[in-house]
Amino acid sequence: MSVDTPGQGADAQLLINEARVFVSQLYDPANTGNPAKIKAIQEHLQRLQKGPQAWLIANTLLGDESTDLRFFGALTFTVKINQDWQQLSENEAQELLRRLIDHYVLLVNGGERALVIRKLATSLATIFLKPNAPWNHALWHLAASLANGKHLPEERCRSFDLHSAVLPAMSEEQVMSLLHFSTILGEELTRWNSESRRNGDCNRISENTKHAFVLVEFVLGHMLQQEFSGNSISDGALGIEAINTYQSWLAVRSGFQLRNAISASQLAPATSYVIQSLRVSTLSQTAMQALVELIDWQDGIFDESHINAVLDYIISGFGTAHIASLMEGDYDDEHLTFLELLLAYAALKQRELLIQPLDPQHEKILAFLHTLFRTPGYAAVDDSASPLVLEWWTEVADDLQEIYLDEEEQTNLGSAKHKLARAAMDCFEKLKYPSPEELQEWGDDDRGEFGAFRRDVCDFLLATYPMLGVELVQVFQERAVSSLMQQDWGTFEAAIFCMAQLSEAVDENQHADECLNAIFFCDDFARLCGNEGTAIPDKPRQTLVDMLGKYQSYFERTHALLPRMLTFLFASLEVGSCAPVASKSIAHLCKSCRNALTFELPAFLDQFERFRFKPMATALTMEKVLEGIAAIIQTLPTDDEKARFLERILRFFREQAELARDEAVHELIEPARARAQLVLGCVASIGKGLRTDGEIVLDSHDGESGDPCPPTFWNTGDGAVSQGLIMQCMQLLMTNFPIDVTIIEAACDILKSGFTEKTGPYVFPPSVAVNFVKSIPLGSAGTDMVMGTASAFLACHSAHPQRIQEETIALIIHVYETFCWMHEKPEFYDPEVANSGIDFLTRLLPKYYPFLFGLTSIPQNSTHADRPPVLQAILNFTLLSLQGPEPLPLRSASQFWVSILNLPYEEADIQSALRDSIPALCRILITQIAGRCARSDLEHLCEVLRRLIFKQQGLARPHLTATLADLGNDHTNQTQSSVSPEERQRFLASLLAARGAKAQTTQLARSFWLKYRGTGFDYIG
Amino acid sequence: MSLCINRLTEERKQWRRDHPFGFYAKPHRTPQGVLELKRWECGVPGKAQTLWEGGLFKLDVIFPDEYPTKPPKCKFVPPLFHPNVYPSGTVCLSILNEEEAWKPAITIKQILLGIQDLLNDPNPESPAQADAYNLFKKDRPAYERRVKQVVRENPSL
Repeated sequence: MSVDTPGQGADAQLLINEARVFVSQLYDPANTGNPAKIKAIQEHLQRLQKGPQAWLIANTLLGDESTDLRFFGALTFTVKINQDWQQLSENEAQELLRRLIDHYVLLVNGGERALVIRKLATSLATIFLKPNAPWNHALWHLAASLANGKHLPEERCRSFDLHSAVLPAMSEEQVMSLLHFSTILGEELTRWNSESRRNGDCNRISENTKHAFVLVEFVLGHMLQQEFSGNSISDGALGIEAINTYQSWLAVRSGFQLRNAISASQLAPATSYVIQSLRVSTLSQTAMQALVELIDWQDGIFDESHINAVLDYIISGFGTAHIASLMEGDYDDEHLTFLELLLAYAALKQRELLIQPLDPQHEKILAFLHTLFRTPGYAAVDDSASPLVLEWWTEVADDLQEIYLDEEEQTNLGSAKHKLARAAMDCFEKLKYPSPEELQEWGDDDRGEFGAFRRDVCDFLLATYPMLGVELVQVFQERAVSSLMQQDWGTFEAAIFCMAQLSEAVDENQHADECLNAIFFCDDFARLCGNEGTAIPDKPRQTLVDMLGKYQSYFERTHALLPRMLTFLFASLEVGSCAPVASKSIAHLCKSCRNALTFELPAFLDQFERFRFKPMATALTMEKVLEGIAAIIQTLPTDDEKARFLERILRFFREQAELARDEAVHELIEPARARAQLVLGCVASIGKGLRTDGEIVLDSHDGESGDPCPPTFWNTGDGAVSQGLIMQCMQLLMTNFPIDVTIIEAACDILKSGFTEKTGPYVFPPSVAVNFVKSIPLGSAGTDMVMGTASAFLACHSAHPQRIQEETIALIIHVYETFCWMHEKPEFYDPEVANSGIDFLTRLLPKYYPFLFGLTSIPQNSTHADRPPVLQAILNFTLLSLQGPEPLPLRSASQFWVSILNLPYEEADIQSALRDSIPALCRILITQIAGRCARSDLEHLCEVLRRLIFKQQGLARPHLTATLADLGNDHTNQTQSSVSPEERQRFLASLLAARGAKAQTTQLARSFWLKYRGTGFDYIG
Repeated sequence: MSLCINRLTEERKQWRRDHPFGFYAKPHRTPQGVLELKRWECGVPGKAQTLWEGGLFKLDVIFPDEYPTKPPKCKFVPPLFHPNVYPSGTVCLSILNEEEAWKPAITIKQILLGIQDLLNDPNPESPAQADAYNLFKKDRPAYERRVKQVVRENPSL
């Protein structure tokens, strides 16, 4: 420590002056808008604080006239102690402590501001935590020095008893400064890393903990004596800091396992004082906050008298006054803190409150918990109390469930159920939605918070259901029926909302069917659905639509209700907020109950035709509705009838497709696209709806040869008109049209909807799928979906590959041409085309590989005689993709090679192709794994490697060995590394020994990769 | 109580005390009304002033028995159109990967905020689904239109 080192004075003075200038600039309001300058100043000051003269700077500045400089001086001590403690000799450390205490005493006696005192207290606490700190009884020592007016050697303090001699001799300011130090030391100790603690620390800490509680007792004891003797305390600052100290040292006691050394009974007086502080207005809120935390903590600090004292307070006039304020809508912090105390107490006693017979005091507590749902205002928007109370009730319900499930303890659950039911009713009122006018005043935050509260109520209701059962549903049903009769829409909405939330518990099991019947079969509901003089406002309509969607199982078994229900849903399509959910419910119910709805079809179609010109008729809603209607069409007994309805719908879309084309011709590109998306999306969803119920026809094992597209009603009979309309829509919107990814996606869906069917309007000749794939321009977004469709096409013929040999080869050649094109013109390389093409090839391998491996020449009619043969070009392209920078082609190429290696090696075509490719494959895999690939590529490349080793070890071994030996030579483009040839050989030996086992291979490859990349590789970066 | 359940109980308390606006997170309740602490249902809102604003995306967070030593699995239900979400709905994010940046100290709140950040700031280095990744890389306007559609289909209110 060079505080007094001679000869450095001049230098030090310069630095001190510099610090003065910089600190004043730091706090200069002129610089607040200049973060760059502030940053530069701070960096400079930090250098000073760590420099050799920092002790001197700190010491001098602590005596300065400016508060900012004294604060900086105190801060510099903390920084310097943390940095240079190890360099101090024992004497220097003693001297430092002496000086800091002297500064502390001097500043406190001079009326220093709390800001500086706290900072200096931190410096002192930092010393206490350092190894070999020359300080044991820190609190006692500081107290005695403060009382003495200057530093007193620690060993001399012991002659003055802390409680009876030292503390009474101190001024109020001195006691306050001791409390500051005490709280900070407690907090620092709690944060103290257990690794830096040493033997003996526990003893020191235990002693100081005892003294901290002596201090708390002393301060609170005096304050309470004064208050209760009639001299009310105007300034509670000392008491508040004493409560803070109490909390801070309770955490130390717990963190250092001092519960035996300092028993709860030793703390009892201090704890009692904290509880008594509840009744002192200036201390009440701090005491409540501390007690809430301690009750939650359940650290065994409270004895029964403490708990009773808290209860007495809650039900006293003080508590009742807080409750009264809340009931008047005063949600100030102090009242909410009281509510937290009430809830913490109630949580402690929750089983007793619900199950046991209650004494008058606890009756009162329970009454509070019910009453508090009647506070004014909307929950979570104006009313901050209800959400807290609800949380308590939900926890109670969860806890009671555990007892309920344990059959032996069911006695007294009757009263608990009654209380829960009452709480469910209490919060019902809080669920009512604001009127549209009120809602307009709300911001998004308010809506979100209120919505979250309603969701929490559902959670509570579901938690009570196991105990309350169907009676709970019945209560809401009764409210729904009576409010519907009176057209009290607020109550109706809330009741329907509750029933909707309970659907999870009852929809599947029929427990509540009678309740649901009571609502949905009543005349008022029939009138509501038929739109006969009952005009339901939008919000309750929306909630009802949501609710209907949640009781799908009920409606599926109650067919008699379907017509009125669906009529209501169709009418709801015209209300913006209802349309998305209504259309989803229509789709679901029409599909799952299609057989019961055949007779309703004409009416539904009429409703649809009215709806399709309304503003709510978006692609999203139209598609859903049509999917539902098409599902009913599918149930018609004859193809003729089906065709009649389909034509009626499809003609409309064909007209729309013409309109879209006109728009495109007139350069109205966006409207044209939007219309095309709607048309194709709807045509696709009709196809989806038409799929036969539940049965997906993928395979028909009726011979290898045969016509893949025999004549049927739909391609040659009267149904051909419908099929023609679908194809015309596709042609109009896919040829010479500004297509985009959504249009392509819908067209793919149209094709795919026929793949799984045996016959129908969507079952097209195989050439349609092939021509479609070939018609998509290279590089279009959506190529992925197009190739996915090609794969789906092959999958649906996989039982008889021969039948579509011609089409399969056409598709492979299409992929080959795109690969050649991208290879020849790298500027047109498109990772999506590469990835989707490779993926398509991978999927065709299991069933169609003979077609691919048979393509060993250039295609006939090819205009590019210089291109390599098909198979060779494809294999080369996939090998290049394995070492390319694009992650998706690399992954699909890995999959491709895994599949290739899985093919039957005994077949001559495969054998020869593999012999040609394995050298390159080995070279690529090894160079990639040797640190070249991205970390996320490793697992994919490993899949190939382990398959290669498992299946083709003999062929691969020499090439793996050669590549490994060659690593680091220039032509492999590998970075130089310290991985020795022996390590590389060991790597290969371990790989071979693992014989393709997944976990081992991956682990080996990962370690090898890390060796090349260096262990400092940062995953997050 | 196991470490996993202890921690989840504490997470639940912390979440109730303080959670970011517009998010929700709670343990799943079975149709029988019983809480499953190891499976949470969460909602992540799209960030204001981004393409994702106005959407609320539902997410199942599934905690393994070894939590918090091992990270939970986060899965959008239904799967979300996003470059870093697998076709199954599982989110690909470094802080959710045991071998990358997972740390036992990471809270549910931090996870959900991390996922919210990811929505508008996809990581093109680790694509998880081809659909969204290709569109993101190749046709940004189409990607943005698609995101807006996803937002419309998952409204927050």
